[in-house]
Amino acid sequence: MSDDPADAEGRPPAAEPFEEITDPSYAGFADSCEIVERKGGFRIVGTCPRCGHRMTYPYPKRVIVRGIGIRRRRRSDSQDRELPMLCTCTQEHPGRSADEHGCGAYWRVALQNSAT
Amino acid sequence: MTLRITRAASEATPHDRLVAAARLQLPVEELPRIRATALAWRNGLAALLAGLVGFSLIKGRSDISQLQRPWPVVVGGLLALSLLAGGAAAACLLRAAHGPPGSVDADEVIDEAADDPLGNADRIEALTAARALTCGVVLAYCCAALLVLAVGSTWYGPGKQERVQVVLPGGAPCGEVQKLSRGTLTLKTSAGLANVSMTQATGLRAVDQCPAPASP
Repeated sequence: MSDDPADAEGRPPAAEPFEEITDPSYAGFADSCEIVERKGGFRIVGTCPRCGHRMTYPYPKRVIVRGIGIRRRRRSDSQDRELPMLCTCTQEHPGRSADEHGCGAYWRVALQNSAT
Repeated sequence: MTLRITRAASEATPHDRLVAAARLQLPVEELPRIRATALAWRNGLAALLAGLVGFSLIKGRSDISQLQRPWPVVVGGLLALSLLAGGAAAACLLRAAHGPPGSVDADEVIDEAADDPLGNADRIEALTAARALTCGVVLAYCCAALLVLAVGSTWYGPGKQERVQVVLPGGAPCGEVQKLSRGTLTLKTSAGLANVSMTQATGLRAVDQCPAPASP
């Protein structure tokens, strides 16, 4: 992983190349991440299970989309559901195009709303 | 209520990656979008209200004193409420289109913990502008509705009853005309109904207000 110490000559370790990839082990992200609640939603802060970089995945509840006034089915307020997410680290990963994020890793987490 | 993240029961699929990327894309450029939307609404509603008021698309009596009480008060109240709603709508729409007319604390704008230190401030401002836009639109419609109600009240509100004063050799009764039958005029005076024989009348004049009865 990229957070490994530099090599004997002081060069930083090579970053993981960008690749759209998932792995069952990535579910372990849920064990160490934290939720930061913000006005209009929250964000999930943690360490990418593939590249090891710090990352923040925003989860807005309401968004402003010009020209779209759709009212689709609404999820229940309990919010207990599974949420797909991907790496959003800002470090360089070779092969990443301008409209992509992070190192390419993606996974799912379960979002639970406890009454405490 | 507290949000909590746990391990998911199922593995991710390539479609999940598309969904996750779409969610990232949604909040991008929200502030310019809401500003542009607010500008369009501001211009449209301003044209609507200017059409209603400036070009006299709806026009009522110019003198509401011709209305029977308490209709002048009702019309005045509706116009005052319409003015208040219009002023508040303008303030909300301008707030949504151009932002607050003042400065903010720099520490409140920069989010040191975020990857994009300015992104959170933009998002909060976008949501605040969206609320102001919603309020402005609702208030502008209320302003137009109150204006239409006020003008409608001048159209359909009952006009003031005409009063007449009959000059007789022994006095000059004054009141609202109730009926005229066989040379006898029935007036509704402050003292009640009065029958006046028009054969003895030497004069008749319309008055806005009847003179106060002479005190004994």
